Amino acid sequence: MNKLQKFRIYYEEDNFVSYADPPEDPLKELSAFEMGLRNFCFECDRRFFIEVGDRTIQLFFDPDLCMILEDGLPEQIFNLSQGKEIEISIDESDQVIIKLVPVGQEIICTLRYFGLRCEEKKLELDKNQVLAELKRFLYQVMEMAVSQGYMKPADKDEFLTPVLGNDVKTGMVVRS
Amino acid sequence: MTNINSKIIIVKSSITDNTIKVGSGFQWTGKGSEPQWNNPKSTKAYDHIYRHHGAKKKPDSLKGRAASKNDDQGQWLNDEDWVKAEQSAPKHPGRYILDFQRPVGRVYHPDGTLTENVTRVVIRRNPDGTLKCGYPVVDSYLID
Repeated sequence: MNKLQKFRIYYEEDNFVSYADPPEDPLKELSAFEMGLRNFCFECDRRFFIEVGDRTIQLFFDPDLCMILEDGLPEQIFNLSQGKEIEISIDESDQVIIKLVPVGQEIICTLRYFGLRCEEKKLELDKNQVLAELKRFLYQVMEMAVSQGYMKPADKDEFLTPVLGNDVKTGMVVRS
Repeated sequence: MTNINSKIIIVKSSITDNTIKVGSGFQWTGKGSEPQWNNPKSTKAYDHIYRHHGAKKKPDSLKGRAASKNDDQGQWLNDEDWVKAEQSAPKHPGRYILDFQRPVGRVYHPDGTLTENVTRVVIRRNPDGTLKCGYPVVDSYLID
């Protein structure tokens, strides 16, 4: 019996009205790319889901995806591909830490919930499947941000450099 | 009368890296210029706190978000308090619950109810010392 669970990230197509105020940078501290990312997540806000086995974590582009990207998702994916453990931390729309620990060709995933419920669940995942799914989602949302004018292609490519370089070599991604 | 000088207590700590000290008063190790730690409007220091949990947010928006996300939404009463939270929290990356020992916020619940006069907040401090998030929480909120 296959003990490996499925890992999936996807978003809903429809926008909805966000309850947050538009992003601001009153002290002019953020770069154009950083503001572009925030504006993209706010103006294109929608639900997205991380499915791990039988667990579904419901999140939103604003602020959850924005925070995950700002936490350095490309570097994290690269680190995972190199056999290092990573944590994806969710603090706003849910309270859960997704810990991914590579063990050979598998990943031991621990979902550690905090906040109003403290609970931990462990699942076993296929490492290549997880990496492919993380990259697919990352490239998809970043392409959306570029195609809708929130950032320049060159800035997107720079952001994706940690994970992009190897995928260009393998033909997974065509540079814009 | 509210004692604005009451001591802030660290109720719970979940330190992710105790080998470095970061935040206000310590050497800036993040990207670009050091943020203005004492300015609650600093997006660099306080990230999404103002937009999602600031004192000026209207009740309807927080009620709506609590319902749509099926998750408690905390709101600060005074924006200056998250500056105080940064100053008082341990200077290591991690997640912390602080008790101000005076009302600092309110919490909107998914069922439409409201808890006023909460004294506790949760914050997450990044590896560069800035706050990734911070919002008032009810006393039953745990980080481990």
